Amino acid sequence: MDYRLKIAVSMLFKKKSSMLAAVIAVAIAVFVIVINYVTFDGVANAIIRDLIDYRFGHIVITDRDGNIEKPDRELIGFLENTGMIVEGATVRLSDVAAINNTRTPVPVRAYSVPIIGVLPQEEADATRLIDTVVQGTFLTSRDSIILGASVAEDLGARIGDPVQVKLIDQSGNVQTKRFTVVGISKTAGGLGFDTSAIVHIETLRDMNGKDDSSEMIVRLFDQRDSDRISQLFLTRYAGEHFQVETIEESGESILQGIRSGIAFINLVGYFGMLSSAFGIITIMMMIVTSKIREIGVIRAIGSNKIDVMIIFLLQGSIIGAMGAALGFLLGSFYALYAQNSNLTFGESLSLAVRYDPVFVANTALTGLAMGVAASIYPAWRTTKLEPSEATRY
Amino acid sequence: MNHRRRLAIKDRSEKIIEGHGLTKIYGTGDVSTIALNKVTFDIRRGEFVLIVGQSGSGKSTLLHIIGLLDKPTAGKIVIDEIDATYLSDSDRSLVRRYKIGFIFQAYNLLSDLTVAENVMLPLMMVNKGSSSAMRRKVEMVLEKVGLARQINKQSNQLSGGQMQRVAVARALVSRPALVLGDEPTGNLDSKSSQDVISLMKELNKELNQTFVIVTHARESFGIVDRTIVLKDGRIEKIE
Repeated sequence: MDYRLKIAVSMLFKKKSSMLAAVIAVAIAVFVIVINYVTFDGVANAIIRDLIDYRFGHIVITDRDGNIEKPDRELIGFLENTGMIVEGATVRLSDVAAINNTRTPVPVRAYSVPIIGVLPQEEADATRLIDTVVQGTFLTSRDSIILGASVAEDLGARIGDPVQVKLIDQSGNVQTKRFTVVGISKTAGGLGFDTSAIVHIETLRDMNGKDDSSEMIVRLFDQRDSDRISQLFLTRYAGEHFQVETIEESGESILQGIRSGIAFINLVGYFGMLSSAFGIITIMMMIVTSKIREIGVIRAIGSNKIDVMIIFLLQGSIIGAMGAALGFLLGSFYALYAQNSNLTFGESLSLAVRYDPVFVANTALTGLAMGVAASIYPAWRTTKLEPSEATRY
Repeated sequence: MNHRRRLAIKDRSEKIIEGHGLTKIYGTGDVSTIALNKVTFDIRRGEFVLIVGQSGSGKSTLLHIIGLLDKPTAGKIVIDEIDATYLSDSDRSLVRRYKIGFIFQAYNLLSDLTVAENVMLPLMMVNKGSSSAMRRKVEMVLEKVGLARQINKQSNQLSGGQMQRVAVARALVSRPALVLGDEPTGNLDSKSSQDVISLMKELNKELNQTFVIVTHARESFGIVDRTIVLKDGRIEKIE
């Protein structure tokens, strides 16, 4: 073994508490960055997952000129006959309504509630909307309605309550219809229809006097087929004015904010790493100060300044390597736990974590580099010690 | 590198140390102190030389200049035919590594290392042979200083006398041409002092290594080859 490594190891391991503190500082820095990344990446993935499951599917199709007027069956049939690519497709119609809870003596009214018309059978294949019903059942008839949890709370509505829905049809007349509340819809992250009401699409069409739909949602077996299906659809309906957006495009504005947040949080994590580096510098300066006489002896025996510097740089490397290894283990443990446990914080949406060993390893390597970098100044300080002075220290 | 090649050549000069007009001034201007004032001397190979004088006479300063731990303000220092006056820090380290062994008053062992590791350090620096060969040398030299049984102990588990014996072993293990001692018995009781002095004298005769020892207690050393007496930074006499 090289004598510099021998001395570095011996010195370091004899100062166990200092070494442990420095190693933990590196490990915590690595761990915090991994926690930040895993958590916020998990949030971003969960948002994408919920947007796919409840709002947009993998592909959302709209008409540039307004609503889609092609028959539902034709469009759904075309997509579902593209082979084992499309898991399900459905159409939705959106409108705005005022809703009264007529069970109460003085009806409670909610204005401007988004109301969504859906095809119950097709929703089961194309979305996870059914899973958001936390009380009651999904739509059972054309007179049934599902209220978002916030709407139900505003109206004081319970399962079985009669509600009256008013909306303006395409001719400008007020249309009123009574529904029975069959379910309450709620999602953990609020990306579902917590502030909306859901009815059968044909009922909504009857009320507003239209026979169209606002959008078409397509769910794929494999998201990577998005572009292929988009091309197939646009080719088939080349003469129409359809607009096809993948989830990355339809959720772009939401995701952009989330990604900026992740970048900021990561930056905070790296600043945390910087403060750990100062901790290591302090600890290593303490080691240098307590070893001045030994440094003088090593110089007297025949080491030059560079040799002594190498001893302390090796110590920084050892601290960095041990801290990086510990940080890697802790970070991997957390990421795997979060991945396998569908981690949630309170009533937030459950994180969609993907364990990325390359990211954890890269962060650990950054921790190692930090350990080495933090030892440069203390190591350089040793070159300022004159052996004649140091041996008498 | 020329110095490296020269360092590898077997010692051959008669004079192993030559000091010419060595001057050392600490500080500048009004607050300067002249520690050594134009000291000229030489020491021959195999001699056992004491440097004595009162506190502040410049003994340790002279020893540090001889040991290349410090540079003279003026004058010239030659170690085994190498003019070391203007050598770089790196080359001075090489001269120390290959030519000089140090024994300090406070033993100055590396407390984090075992006895064997402390003694092996100079061999590891010059990278002489395999680790088993180095270990054998360490065992031999520890045998010589009477500490063979302490070889695996931590250095801070030894008594003062034992630590100084380890320091002597460390100074001798790589067979340097020159062994320098800065008050090597200063921290020892009289029995341990006598043991260490006897050991150094014995090794001086046996291995023909040059010993230059700074001491306050010249009488403890008995008869030596020469004694340089310093007073106020100058050589008062050489006996």
